[in-house]
Amino acid sequence: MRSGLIISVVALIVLSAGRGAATAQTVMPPRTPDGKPNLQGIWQAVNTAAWDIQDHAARLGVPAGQGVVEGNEIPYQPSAAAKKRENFANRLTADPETMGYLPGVPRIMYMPFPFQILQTPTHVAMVFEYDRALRTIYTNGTPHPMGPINWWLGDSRGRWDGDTLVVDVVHFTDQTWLDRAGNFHSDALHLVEHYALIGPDHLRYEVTVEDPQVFTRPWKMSMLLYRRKEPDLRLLEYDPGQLLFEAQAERERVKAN
Amino acid sequence: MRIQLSPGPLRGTRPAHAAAAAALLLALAAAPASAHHAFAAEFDSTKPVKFEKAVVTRMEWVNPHVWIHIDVPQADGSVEKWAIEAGTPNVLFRRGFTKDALLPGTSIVVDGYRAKDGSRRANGRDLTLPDGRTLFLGSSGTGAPLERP
Amino acid sequence: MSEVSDVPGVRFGIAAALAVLIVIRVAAQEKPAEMVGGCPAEPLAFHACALQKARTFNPPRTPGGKPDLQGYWRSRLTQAFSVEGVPADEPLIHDPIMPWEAAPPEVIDPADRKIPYQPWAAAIGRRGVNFTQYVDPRTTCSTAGIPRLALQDANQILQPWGDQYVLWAFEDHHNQRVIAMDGRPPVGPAIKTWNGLARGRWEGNTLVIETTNLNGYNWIDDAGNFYTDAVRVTERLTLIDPDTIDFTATFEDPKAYTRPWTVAWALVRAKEPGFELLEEACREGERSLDRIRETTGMKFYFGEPWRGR
Repeated sequence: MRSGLIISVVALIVLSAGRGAATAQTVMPPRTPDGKPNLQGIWQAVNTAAWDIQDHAARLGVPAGQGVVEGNEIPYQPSAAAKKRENFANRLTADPETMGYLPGVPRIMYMPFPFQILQTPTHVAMVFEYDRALRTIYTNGTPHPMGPINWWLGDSRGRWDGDTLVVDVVHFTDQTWLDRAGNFHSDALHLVEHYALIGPDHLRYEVTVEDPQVFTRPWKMSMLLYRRKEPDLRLLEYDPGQLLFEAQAERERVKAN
Repeated sequence: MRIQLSPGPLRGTRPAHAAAAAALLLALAAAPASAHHAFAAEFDSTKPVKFEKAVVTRMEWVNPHVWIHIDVPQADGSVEKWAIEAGTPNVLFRRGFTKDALLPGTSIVVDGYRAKDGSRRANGRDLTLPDGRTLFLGSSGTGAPLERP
Repeated sequence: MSEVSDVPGVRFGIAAALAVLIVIRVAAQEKPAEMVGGCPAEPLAFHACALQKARTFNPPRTPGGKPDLQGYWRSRLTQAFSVEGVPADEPLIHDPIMPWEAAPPEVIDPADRKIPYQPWAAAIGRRGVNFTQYVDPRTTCSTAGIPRLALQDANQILQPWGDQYVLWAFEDHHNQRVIAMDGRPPVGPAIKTWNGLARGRWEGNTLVIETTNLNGYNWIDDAGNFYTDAVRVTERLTLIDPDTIDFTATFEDPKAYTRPWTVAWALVRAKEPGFELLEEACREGERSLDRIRETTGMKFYFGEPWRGR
């Protein structure tokens, strides 16, 4: 009787441990009432991709970083590779981000600022602290509008493939870069993004980059987004354009006095 | 509101791209939703300007304001380049137009108000197409928040 | 939600509202009054009428049981020149380049329909120092601010799963506000922002949004009416029929005003098929600001006329 109980308890522990191990590998994501994975929350990339999406040593003010490009090589066409080198040389003034412009997609996903995902049955909204930007991803089955359209954050249409949110993004400008290191694209940029929870607080973000005017073939970036868990954390504001103007106003005030 | 067609409504048949241009201009007229800046500060209402033979060279399709670039032939055979400021592209987009709508080479008559700084820029007002139809550009806007359907 | 209150104060309110309606009708006899949502468009009359309609309208609900305000909206039958109204003899109505439109005030309280400025502040707002010496912050591609954003172009309300947040998105310069509905405390007053930090709650069928932590760097309207960084803005959004929201905003700013004051207008559902908000980059394509500043000598605002007071 007693030994039977012990055996039962041991069996239970073994079973539980086994289930735990399985859970760690194939997490059942939390779901919204319509059965979709619940991605809602405040997220942030914790990497150095905003400075350089490829492997890089430390530079003044820039941490060293392991790249997020699969295989580390970006398949530039020859003329585009030259343009990238030129961009890099002039990056401190030529990067459109330094002018306080919207940083484009995918760069806005890995700027060092938090962003918030909000979901309804028909929308996945991504709200960014950086520049108060908003990406509205329509998950209502509507197609991209007819172009040509040049939007800084493109046009995003999403669908659920199992538990992965797949987002197709087109209609870009040729005015944004992929990072401070001068990696760039044309207005023919086409992205396919994959968002998948791999744990309650980790979101895997993969993006396939296609641009026949700049690259010889599609290529891919992959990174983790981390849930910000501080109690009562909320998005604040970083308005780069107005901060530039405010600095200019201060210089004018000093000069006038 | 400043959705105006003068002197009369559009009628008759016309080439597709002229029709597109007409609708585009009509759409421009509905643009006052976003009067983004102090036009009165930048343009001089005492200095109207009219170009009788302007040729569209380029449409700059940018928020917050569309710019129509034109060539204006001069008596001596030279060409002056002017830029005409118009409404916001989102209004045009909602009417089904993209940056391809007003093609380079289209002849227009356009009037408006000169920039105070004397540069070759103007705030567009009325635009006349080759067939004589005159449309209110309304690029200056009123600041009123509405595009009333 | 659907019963008429027996509270004496409410009965008085209805009587007062009806009185307002009658006065408005008499005053506007020359031409038939514009209507919005079955109410007169004039802001004071609209709000009085809307309060009545809200008593009997049972709004649609989210899965969580909250009133469902979702959809695309535009402010209707109102203007952004001055919340104190634009009188018919205003010279700017005849400006050939940028004419203003005559319109009644959006201020519904106090009764004189004027912003109750402290004397020093009246000289700054109301086409004063701000209007004549500073570039409208919106022209610099900043946010139009609270609540001016709800006057400019189309906007969209989303109520995400869980009812913990309301997202209010604005086409004007790609703006958004995340309204926390979870009863959280405010953040510290040293954190200043352009659109403020909003906390919301439901009072009956009304979405009440309290916004603090504003930097006061934007204006309320084109005329340069303003608040400082001490302001608290309380907005109330109530559906009065499926396609009309009664919107009010009350401003409390002990630095600038002598008492709280309130504006009202209608938000009307945008029902065009396939309507969506479009990206409106502003700074990215702005070409005129340097020239305007050079031509006019106007300065950047950043609250300069009141900072340090």
